[in-house]
Amino acid sequence: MIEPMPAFVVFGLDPEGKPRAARFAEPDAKLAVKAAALLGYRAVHISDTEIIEALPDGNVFARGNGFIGRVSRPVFEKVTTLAGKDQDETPGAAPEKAGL
Amino acid sequence: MSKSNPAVSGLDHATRLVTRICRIAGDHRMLDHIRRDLARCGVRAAVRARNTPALFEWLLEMVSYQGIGNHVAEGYMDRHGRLGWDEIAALIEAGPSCPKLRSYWHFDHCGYQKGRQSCSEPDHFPECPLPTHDLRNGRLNQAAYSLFLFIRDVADGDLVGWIDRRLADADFGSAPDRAARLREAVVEPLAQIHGVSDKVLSMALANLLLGADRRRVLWTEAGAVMIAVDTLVHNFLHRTGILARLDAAHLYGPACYAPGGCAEIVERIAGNIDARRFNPAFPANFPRFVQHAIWRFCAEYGLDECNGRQIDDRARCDRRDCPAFRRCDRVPLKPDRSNEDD
Repeated sequence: MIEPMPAFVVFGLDPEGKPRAARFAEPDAKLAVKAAALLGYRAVHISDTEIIEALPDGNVFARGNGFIGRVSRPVFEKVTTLAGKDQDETPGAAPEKAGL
Repeated sequence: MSKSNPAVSGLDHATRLVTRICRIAGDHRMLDHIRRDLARCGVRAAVRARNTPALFEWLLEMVSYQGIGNHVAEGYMDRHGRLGWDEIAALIEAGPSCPKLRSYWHFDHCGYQKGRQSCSEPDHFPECPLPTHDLRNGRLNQAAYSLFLFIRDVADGDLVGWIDRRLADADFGSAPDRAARLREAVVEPLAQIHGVSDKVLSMALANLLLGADRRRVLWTEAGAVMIAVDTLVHNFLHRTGILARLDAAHLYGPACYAPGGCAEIVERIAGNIDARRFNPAFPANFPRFVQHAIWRFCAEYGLDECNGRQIDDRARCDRRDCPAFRRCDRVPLKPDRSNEDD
């Protein structure tokens, strides 16, 4: 059986405490990790195709809240659970979300 | 549409008309002129030396011309000075307290208004470096910082290298969408910078990519397909009936760059015109040349043929001496409906 390709996902709570998450194409992963680290979000690879399909596309060139979109609480919790099992890509992610 | 001929498709009609415009108004030495202008202002040397500060300052100057006559913008910059890369770098390096200045991604909804001396982070306003520059309006201050942060954070401080990489990543195959792919590889990210319009961005990038370095083949290819749509180009497409025949009527503005808008129409027309007939050194597909020819045909500083000063837009154009008169549908831009029955 072929394992599904893991997708690159960034997620976290915005300054208002609202859950946000998005998937990124692999060529954008490096820049997405950088932005995620600066904004205090987590960046992980996730293999669960169902949850990957439920996520909006992120935009590495968008500023503020345009970077990753809002998601429902259940989707966010699922991502958080999966991220606990998968490898964290964000180097030294700091919760520095003020100012978005 | 009294002159419509069902046997002639909208695109065929547009191609014939615009080919004539290219013959009359096209700058057949366009590439030479762009290269000369870029050399004169140091941009060619800056690209060769990968001098990001110089390119930032040139781009910011291009953005400063947005929304106002060139001579007014230039006069203001001459009197009040121009903003340099090093100046912003030093201020950002000092670590301003405003959280929006932490990175490119943080810089959103700054809200600085020059007239009101206000912003969306009033607690940080007194110490903020952004309002300290005397630019023509607050939007330009924000554009300057947004552009600076983009180059620092997204392009890792090397704008030339970033453009090279973006175009190389989009350089695969010769599918019909190749031109659009190359253009979007550069335009789409830069269009996210605060306060930079599609028109100004396309114009500045078209010149930069076409004229900066002829050895960068992908730059030339991408620059050739960048189209700047202003009111003159939009109104030309409306008045000549091209928009109506292509069922693409829309108001001037963001719709001009949306699917089916002016930019896409000019690109489709240009796809039917081999620009090498005007200059063998031109690329065959050269939408920027075609768009520039339309602009020159219309502009007061060009051939001054198709604009609001020459035409009473309440009625069909009656300028029989216009070189495009016979092929033009002469659709009024603002039809006078006061005499119509209810």
